[in-house]
Amino acid sequence: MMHLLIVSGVRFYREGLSEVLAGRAGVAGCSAALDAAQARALLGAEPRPDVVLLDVAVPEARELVAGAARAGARVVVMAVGGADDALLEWVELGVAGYVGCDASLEELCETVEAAARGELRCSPTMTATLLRHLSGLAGMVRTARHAGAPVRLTSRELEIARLIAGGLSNKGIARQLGIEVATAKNHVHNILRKLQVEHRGEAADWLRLHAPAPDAMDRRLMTV
Amino acid sequence: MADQARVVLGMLPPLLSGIVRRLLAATPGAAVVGEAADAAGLARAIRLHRPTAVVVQTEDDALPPELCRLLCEVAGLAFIGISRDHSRATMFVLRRDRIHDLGPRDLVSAVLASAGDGPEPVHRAAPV
Repeated sequence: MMHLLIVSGVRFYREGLSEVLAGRAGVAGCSAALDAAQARALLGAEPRPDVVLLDVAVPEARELVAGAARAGARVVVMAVGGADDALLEWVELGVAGYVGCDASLEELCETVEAAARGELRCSPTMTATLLRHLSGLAGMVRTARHAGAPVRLTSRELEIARLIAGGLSNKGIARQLGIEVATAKNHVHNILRKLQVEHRGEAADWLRLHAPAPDAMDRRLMTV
Repeated sequence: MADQARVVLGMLPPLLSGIVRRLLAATPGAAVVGEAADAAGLARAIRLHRPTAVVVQTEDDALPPELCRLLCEVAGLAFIGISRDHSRATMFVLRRDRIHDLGPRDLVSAVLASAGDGPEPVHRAAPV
């Protein structure tokens, strides 16, 4: 029998889903939290939740995924308030299930129950997205194996690679960093040579696979 | 026993619709009698099922013009508009109260009642 914790800032979902899910076979109890602080308190209290149903709109939702894992709970995220296209990001954070904004109540219940059993219930769209991503990763791993020695970019090159991944042209990079266009071009050329790729998009893929997540400053730069 | 509340759901996201259905199914005196995915279907469902309430999702707490027309068309119908973030709802009701044997003070009372701070009209009949 599972204990469930529902985390959502929307009262209708906290109370509505508690009422619906508490009546399902296999659910021993249901508690609810409206924010991350309440959720953390309930994760440490008895009975410990087996599954956390987490609204992606809750502030600090990503941090909560890690907190729930430390507490031994599986997390199902739900994007109920609207579109959330960060499926891969949630998967990389280690969630046990994902419910999109178009999911039905029955699909949500089945996803939660599957997570409690240690299974992943995937919609066809979600499966297609994950398989495409897996295929891309496999291709990059093959390329990396053939390339031999690990690639080392300087911190400046890494900074420029992030700007490339953000879609900036050589001119845009030059303007962003206050350097000459020719200098930016040289950096980009060196990055492509070191990564043994021909196109800027491949450099962006490499960055997503190998480089640490940019900090807040880099994120700001990438969106300029 | 009170009259049955007959509800039509209109243009709700599937999850919200599912929860509302479950809640009303477990509520004596209320029943979901229809559901529609668009405004045209909603108009058909309202004419067919004659609901007492329609639950819809609305933008900016406002009722779209096509739903306002339905509100005017069907006496006694209530629209309950749930905001896009599902955190609040607005109820839209067009009330028609008839004053029989109208006197001048009745008219003044009705005017004051419209602002919510006056006495009720003296000869109010049941809503029509």
